[in-house]
Amino acid sequence: MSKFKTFPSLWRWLEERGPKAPLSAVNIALKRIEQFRDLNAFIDVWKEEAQQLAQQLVSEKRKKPLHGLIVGVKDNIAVAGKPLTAASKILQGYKSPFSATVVERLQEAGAILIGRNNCDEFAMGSGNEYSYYGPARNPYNPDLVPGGSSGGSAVAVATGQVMVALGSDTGGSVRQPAAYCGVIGYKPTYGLLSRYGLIAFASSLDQIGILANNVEDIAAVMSVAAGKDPMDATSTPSKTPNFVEEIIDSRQRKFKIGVITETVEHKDLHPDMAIAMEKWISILSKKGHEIEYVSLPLLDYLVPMYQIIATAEASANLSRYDGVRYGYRAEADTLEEMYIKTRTEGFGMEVKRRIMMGTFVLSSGFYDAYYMRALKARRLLVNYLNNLFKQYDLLMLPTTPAPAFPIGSFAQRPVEMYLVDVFTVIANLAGTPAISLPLAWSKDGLPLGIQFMSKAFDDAKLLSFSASLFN
Amino acid sequence: MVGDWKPVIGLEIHIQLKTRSKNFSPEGYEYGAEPNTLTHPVSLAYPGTLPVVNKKVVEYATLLALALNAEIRKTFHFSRKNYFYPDLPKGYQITQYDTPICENGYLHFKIGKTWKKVRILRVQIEEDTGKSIHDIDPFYTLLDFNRAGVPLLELVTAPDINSPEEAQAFLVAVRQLVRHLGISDGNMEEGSLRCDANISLIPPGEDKPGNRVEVKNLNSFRFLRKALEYEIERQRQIYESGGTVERETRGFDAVKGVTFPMRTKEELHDYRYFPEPDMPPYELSQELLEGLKHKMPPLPFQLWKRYTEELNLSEKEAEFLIEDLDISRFFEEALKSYNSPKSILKWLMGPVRASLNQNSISIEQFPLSPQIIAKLAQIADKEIVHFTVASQKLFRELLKDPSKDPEKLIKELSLDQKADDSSIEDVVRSVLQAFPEKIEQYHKGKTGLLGLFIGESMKKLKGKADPRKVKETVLKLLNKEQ
Amino acid sequence: MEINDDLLDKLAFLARLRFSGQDRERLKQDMSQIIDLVNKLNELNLDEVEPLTHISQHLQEGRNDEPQNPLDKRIVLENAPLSDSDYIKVPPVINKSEE
Repeated sequence: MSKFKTFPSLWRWLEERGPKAPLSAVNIALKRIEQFRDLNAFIDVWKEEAQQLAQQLVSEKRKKPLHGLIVGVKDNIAVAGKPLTAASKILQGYKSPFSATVVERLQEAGAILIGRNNCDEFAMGSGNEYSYYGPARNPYNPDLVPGGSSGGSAVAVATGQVMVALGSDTGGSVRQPAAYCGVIGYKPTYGLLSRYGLIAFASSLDQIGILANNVEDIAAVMSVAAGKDPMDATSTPSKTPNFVEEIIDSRQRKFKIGVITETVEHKDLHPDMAIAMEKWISILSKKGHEIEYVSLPLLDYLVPMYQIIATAEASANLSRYDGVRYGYRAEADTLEEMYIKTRTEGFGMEVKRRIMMGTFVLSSGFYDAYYMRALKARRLLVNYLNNLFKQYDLLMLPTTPAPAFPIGSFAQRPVEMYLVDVFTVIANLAGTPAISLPLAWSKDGLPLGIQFMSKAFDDAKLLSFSASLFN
Repeated sequence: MVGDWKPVIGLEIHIQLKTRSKNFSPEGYEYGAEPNTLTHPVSLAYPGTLPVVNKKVVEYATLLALALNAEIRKTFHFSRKNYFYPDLPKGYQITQYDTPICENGYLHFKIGKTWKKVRILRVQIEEDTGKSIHDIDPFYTLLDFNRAGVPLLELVTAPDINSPEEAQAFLVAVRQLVRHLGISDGNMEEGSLRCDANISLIPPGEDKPGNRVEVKNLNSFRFLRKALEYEIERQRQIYESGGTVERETRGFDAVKGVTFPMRTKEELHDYRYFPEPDMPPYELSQELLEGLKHKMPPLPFQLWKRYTEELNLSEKEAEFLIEDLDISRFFEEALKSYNSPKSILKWLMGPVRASLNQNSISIEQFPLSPQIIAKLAQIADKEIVHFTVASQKLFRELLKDPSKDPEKLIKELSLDQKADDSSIEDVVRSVLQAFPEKIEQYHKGKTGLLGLFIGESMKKLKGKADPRKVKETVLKLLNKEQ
Repeated sequence: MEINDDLLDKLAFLARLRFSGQDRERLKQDMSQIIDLVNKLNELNLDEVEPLTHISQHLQEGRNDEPQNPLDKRIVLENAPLSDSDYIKVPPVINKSEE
């Protein structure tokens, strides 16, 4: 189990601590934030505001749904009046005048946002190594990455600095750090959580995700945050379920689960991960779920597909960072020079690499051969998965091939880091929900995450199943 | 035709829509506001913002598509056009590249006495940029983002236009159309109507045009015509001296009256269009389409055909009616109450037009309703009151108080007091006495003089007599004279 | 696939980025590698497949034409790296006299 002292679920905390719960939560959180400073999970801590808000909540009679929930916010999610930098030099000095819709909803529900979490620059990375503020570190071994891009969020949750953290997941950036740090990481169905206020990386893949130590907290946050936002045209107009009720109601259900063969037989799969998968397949079977092996022949094409689509969209989404209206601007005599210097100096190498790739796949002469092909391949995947989900309630696979890797291991071979995402990009490409559960440990005592996916908008089912594994 | 050189011209017209809020961003817009007071995080492309389409923009675009008889795409999406410029906050413009809202339409316009048809290749929904001001500060370019995100429709014609005059007339027709549909002010001075032109020449004896030159920044109808005139001449001279016209983009210097090359490096404009992922496809409902079809006002060319072919009005009359489509609207309304086109026209082209001119108002501001005018026409036709009296006295009184009922007013002012038979006789006798030579001529066969006698009598009677009675009386007394 | 200097310069200009020295050589290598990785898609037969341009399962609803409050001018100007009391300022476009 986790070697750190963390908060229990919010409802338990409120029961145990009574009326002073928000205040004691903030004090404990601030203490732990200080204690674990070296892990670099936080860029900014909003100490006074958190304490004030906690006082205010203590004096309030009516308890809002997220009364005193301590939340960490990834540095790519807007909080009005606060710096928002996407861990990048190019946004130094920028304060957002508005809050992300999800943030607003959480605040209205009584949550206490305690600070900005470290992450990879513009959410591009799998180790939180590409940050203007320096790397975040894995709490189980500080020489290892905590995962990325929501590394800081995962560390904060794992070490009890917060109850819940908001991250973002474009190719696995919530689930993978959750797996490396031994916490739960959940990416909702595309469109379930508004993206308004989330700094866009890849528009058709991004979702705000939630990291936590228990499913109840995730369900509580979803109950408040999910649902249509008029400021986000891609947010779903459908009515969203009452997640909290759903996870209580359906906990005893038995499901038909498909284990993806190509993942458990993957050439890069760590032996401890293979063992963990076998162990859990057996446990679930004994619990009464029906388990079968199922094939996903497209697996090897997913990272290629993802690289094309994500970089293409990112290359356009990052064009607005030009030094004109906000953030960093380099000194220059002409406009052209200003653009080039600002962006060359303001972006890190990984971000520039991806912008170049994205520009390439969209440029004339290459558009059909790369971008169009990737969109077609994506449809193949979506059709294939739709079919699978007609037969299976859930799909099961490892979150990552292996546990956390050492900081710097991919320094000379950045392209190889992309392959770490092989099991997580599926859900982003398909728009389906997915969750990483901290169900196992490597022989070295490092966390291993097992991933479950369901069809689009079956989030309540996914969460209730997940909750059932932690009784 | 310039000599034997045939100009081939296509236009790219930008129409700024007069919605209350911008296209993909929710704030309001007003021409001439203080700089940077009408912006929003979305139109400024602040980190984390997203576009959402304004339904009114889609409605206006659909209305235009219907008016242009174009093939409407019921389901469409948007595209990103990527390039860097300081007045383009996102570093891309949201437009429609592969799914424009409509294609293959046409618009008729009048040039001289004939109607010409121009094919409309496509209309696409897009957004305007902010304004870059280069000439206030010598060291900086100044940026005003009020206009960033304002809705635009881009209308692209086929190269069906063959002279600068045609181009001007066509643009005027587009302006008239968008104003008539109520979707835009169509004001070139304020930038709510903009035009770029593509022009090439077909050499004498050949059938294919030479290279196309794009001419931009034409801020008025006059400049459009002048720029094209200059460009045609410029290209002709190049060809005649044995040279070739380069494919390029040129600006127009209004002061010097010349076009000049603009340094836009063609090969570096790779816009990398791709479907806009932040907005799912939009579908036009059958309901909306039907509703808009009903709302569609009739268009100039249709009206022309109706007036000249169905109603048999003269060209001059038809021209009058379609010059300001509000007048034709008024006319059609009046016809509903009294179906006599010529009579209604007599009033519109006569007293109504005079009143509008005198008071410098438009028909929209005219105080009398079409129904009242129809009533007046009816009254005059039925000779309850003579036209002269109705169009002067009665009309004037009604203008003073439009709420009055014409028939009541006639009674109040005793306008229908008919002279009795003996006063008619007295007046006719006195008229005839004044024209002894004419009476002689009349009896010698100049029967046309009858009109003179009747007219003079009516004048003396101040119109307050039944014209037939007057005629009868004149004839009676003339025959007596014999 | 090899990324030559020409292509690199063209793409860099489109993206308003500049690469030189070691970074430039590394980038060429990295891009070649990534392109090799994504070329794997060529193995798929995609002839009859429609591209998936939008992942949302719903159509866009659109927004009513009701203006929302604009952003305070002071915030707009304060956020800009350079501005005066009315405008955001940028260095002049090169050769602007020719436009």
